[in-house]
Amino acid sequence: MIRLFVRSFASLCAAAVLAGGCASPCFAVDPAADPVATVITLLGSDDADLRAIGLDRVRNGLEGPQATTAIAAIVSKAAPTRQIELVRALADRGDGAAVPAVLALLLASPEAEVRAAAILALGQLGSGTEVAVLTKSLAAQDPERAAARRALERLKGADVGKQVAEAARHGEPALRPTFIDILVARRERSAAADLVSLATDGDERVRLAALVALAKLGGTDHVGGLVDALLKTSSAGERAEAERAIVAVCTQSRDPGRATEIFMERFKAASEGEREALLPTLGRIGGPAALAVVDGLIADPDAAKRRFGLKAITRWPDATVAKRLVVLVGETQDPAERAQLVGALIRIAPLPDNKLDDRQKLELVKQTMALCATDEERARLIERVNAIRTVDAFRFVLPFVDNATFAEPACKSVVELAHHQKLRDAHKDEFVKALDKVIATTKNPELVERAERYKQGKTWERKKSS
Amino acid sequence: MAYDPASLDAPFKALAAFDWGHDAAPLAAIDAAVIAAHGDAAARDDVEKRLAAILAPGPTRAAKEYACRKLSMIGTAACVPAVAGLLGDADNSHMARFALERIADPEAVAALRAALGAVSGPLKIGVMSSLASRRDAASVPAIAALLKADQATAVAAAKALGAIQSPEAAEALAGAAGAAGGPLAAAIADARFECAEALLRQNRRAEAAAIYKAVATAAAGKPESRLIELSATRGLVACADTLAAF
Amino acid sequence: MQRSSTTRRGFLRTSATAAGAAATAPYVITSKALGDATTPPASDRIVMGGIGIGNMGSGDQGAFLNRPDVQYVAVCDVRKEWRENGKNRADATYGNKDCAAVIDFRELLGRSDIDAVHIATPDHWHALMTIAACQAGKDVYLQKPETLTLREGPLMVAAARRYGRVVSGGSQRVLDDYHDIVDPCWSGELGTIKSLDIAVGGPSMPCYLPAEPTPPDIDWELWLGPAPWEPYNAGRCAGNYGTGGGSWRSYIDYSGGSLTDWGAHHFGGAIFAADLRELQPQSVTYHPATADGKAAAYVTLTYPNSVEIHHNRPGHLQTVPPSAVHGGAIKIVTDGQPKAGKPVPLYRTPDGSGQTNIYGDFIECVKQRARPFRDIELAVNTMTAPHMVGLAYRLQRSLQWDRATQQFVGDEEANRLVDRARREPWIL
Repeated sequence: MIRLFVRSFASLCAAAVLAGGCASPCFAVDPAADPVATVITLLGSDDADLRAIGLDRVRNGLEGPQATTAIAAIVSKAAPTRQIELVRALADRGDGAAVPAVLALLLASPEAEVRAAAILALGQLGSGTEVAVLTKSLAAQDPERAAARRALERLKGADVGKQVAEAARHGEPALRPTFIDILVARRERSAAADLVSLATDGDERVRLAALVALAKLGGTDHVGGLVDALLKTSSAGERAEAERAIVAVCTQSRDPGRATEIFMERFKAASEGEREALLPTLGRIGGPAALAVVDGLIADPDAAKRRFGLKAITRWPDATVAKRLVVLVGETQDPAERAQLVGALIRIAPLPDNKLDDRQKLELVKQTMALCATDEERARLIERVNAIRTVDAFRFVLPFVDNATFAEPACKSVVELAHHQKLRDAHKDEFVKALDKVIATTKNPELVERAERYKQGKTWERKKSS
Repeated sequence: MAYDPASLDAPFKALAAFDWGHDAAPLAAIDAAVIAAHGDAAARDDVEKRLAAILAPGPTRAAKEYACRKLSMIGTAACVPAVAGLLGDADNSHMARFALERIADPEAVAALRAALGAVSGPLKIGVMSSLASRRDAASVPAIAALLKADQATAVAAAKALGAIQSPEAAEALAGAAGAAGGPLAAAIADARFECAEALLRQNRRAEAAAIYKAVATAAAGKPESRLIELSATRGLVACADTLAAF
Repeated sequence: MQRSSTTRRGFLRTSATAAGAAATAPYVITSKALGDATTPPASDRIVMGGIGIGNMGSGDQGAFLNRPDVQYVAVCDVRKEWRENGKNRADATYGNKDCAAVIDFRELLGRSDIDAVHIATPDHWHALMTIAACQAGKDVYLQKPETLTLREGPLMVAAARRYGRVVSGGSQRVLDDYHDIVDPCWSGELGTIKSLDIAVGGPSMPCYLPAEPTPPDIDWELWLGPAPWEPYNAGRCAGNYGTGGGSWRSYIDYSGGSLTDWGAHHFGGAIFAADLRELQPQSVTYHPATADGKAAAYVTLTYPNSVEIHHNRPGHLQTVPPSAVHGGAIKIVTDGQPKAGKPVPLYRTPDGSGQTNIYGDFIECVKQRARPFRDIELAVNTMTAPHMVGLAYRLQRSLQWDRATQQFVGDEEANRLVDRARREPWIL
């Protein structure tokens, strides 16, 4: 089709083409020729601008796999830097017809950077067939290793996930955790069953990686396996990951209600010792069924059981237990218990989880403030108040700016509240005065900079945690 | 809601005296009437007449601006004489174009064409801008003649011809290319690229290639024209590539 | 790839004679220009300038100043204070006084040593400046919303392609902030997307603010540029983020309002999640408010693949159980039948990790001469959605859109709103 067009095109333009004769870059272009040949001519130029035109055509033009194959065929003959730019362009082109040439380059090039570019291109162009070669590259040094990981994360194909999961089970031991991480990056939920079995693997690194992965990929079907894994854990770190995974599945998966039911069923069926191990997790999941269990434990005359109950309730995920916590603070004579309970209140009072409205949250904050026994607790609470994005919260926290003990957390809260433009603009005068006060008070230069920006109506980009 | 002309008397009275900083609440009724006039010829005629009346001497610049904005939405040939009367007025010329440029009736573009020879300086550029937006092929000879005017006008003329993209526009640009330098040369080249792209969209690739080749040849060997030369080369490559699109 | 020898690199080599730069400020090679262990030599850095150095512009400037592979040499703003602040930031970064500060963007674009510019002016300038920058051979990082009218978009895309420029739109949030909907949608686990609901503010409004004395430190004519002449008022041109009045973002001559401002993010995130960036809506349906006033008017966009996007549909978060939600802003409903997925597009980095931000993506694309994540064509397609929503609200009726002709079908009056006349002497 292209050739037919070019033949007729050639006769029409030959005169224009032949009219050249000066050193114009356009005379590197012969539109009467096959467009692929034209692009290949451009790609061979030492002029970066002309190559850019050619590369753009590779990325965004030249119809069909034959063109891809023809362009890919010149890769092997190019200089290493040109190989990299051409392979990148072929990768962007997205035509799998380039795979054989890219594979050949990977195998033949003595340059690590070229091989890395080829590996990345295979990740964009390849399929399940390329898993083996990419797996091999995963065992190489960087930059190939890093490139291979990226490539496996992005490789298309229905069977890729299965192959990676298989490698996670039976692959090179040192790489098994990496394969699990790749499954997470690929969001391979179909691999979750494999991950459950890997959560009790003999290799601790594999177990940890599997637990981390299950927090992201697990569903209702995997709660039981996760509970088993938690009960088998041998280290605090592993236990924490198992717990995190169960909580994630019971609160953030597609069917958190059913996942929680399954967990509670397993909890009720567990031995007393196992229950103790599962109680912190139960507390973090929360919910009415869990609260009934926890209430029973706290009321139990057995001090150990009460301790487990308190540990669970102070890890509650929301403010539904606020009243219960306030009552318990009032009842306890034990300073450690009191601190534990107040700490829980400080954490949950301003949580943005829609369990309480903003007015109720601020009331709870005030109530908690009255229960605080130390300045450290009060300071923590003052800093937490900014999670309640209301002018009343702002007015509550502002006076603490004048208190030397609480000035820094109060300044932080004021600035955080000022970050919200609608709130700030609705009470502009109050905020401007408060921000002036912050600028004069805080020793934190970032708060000063933010306060200045907000005063001027500017925004501030929060630095992302890595 | 049925159109009620009487309800607009007070808002239009307020509009006649309107200025920036005044209470704009009465204008809301006119806003609504303009929208409601869609599909109601009688209502549209009435609103249009009332808006056109604001363009007569008397009402403020702000009032005239408002009226032109609304006429840009519902104006017809009927309002063209009133709007066109403002084209030579430095304060109101733009808003007159704001209306005329958007009115589909041929009378609107004819008024712009007529104004091209009557206004000068920036207003002439403005009128060209609107004729370009209308892609008015009939104005090509007059605009082409301006390729020899002062630099700002000539550059605008080149841009306008590039937007019009008719064979005559392309020819005028080609004819002026040889003598042009500096910003005008760049504007002419850009306009010629637009003409070539239009041809490419019609799959008239040989004609497009001829333009690119001519531009590249003229730019060849001039360091200050390197960008043009490269763009012409890019266009030439596109002529051979069935996937190329602009 | 090695970048062009036609622009700055050649300039650096010939700057001693500087024949080609007679009309521009001199580019002085300082000791920093020679590079060190972490900073590339000047000849390998992208030389940049910024146009519009106010709120977003200063943030963009800061992002580019932080990059060792960028040499920032000029700022342009019609306001003296912002211009000087911008210059001071650049000078403080480099420890010199070299950053030029100009009022007129044409002066900045005329400098042959500048490779790329970032533009963060009010929206009414975006198309003109972007096209002018492409014509001057500059790559462009353009703040969102990239367009003010529907007609501008294709002209910007054509200019970028014509001159082989890298033109990136500027919603830093689309890829960074919507992972909660983007990742599950692209992975295929949610199945086929049926509809999306977006909650974001409405269109801009007319501005009738009174005249105030024009301060001496602003070039008011240049601020207005192609927009209708209106008298100076501080609230008309204030750069704050409000869209309810008292900022240029509120007013129709300079902005599409919240609908295109935050809308560029929310529509951008939703359209990206649903993989609609290559498409434009084919129709927009206006749903009037209910007669009892209980439900406000809302608008539905329909794409060629039948996916619907509802804007501010009353009670949208309480209706059909969503498959994925982004805060209170976006809801996505799918058929729930998992399907094959595909990898989420990444920012461009040399190592393929995508670990950068939109600024890094732009700079890497400048180096590789590749299209960025928010390539201008994708940005234009995206912005077509909120623009069409705004027109449906403005006209209070439904419209059909023909992408090929960029016209509404059978509605001459609607087509009048596809563009607006620019004030002389500005011509698109």
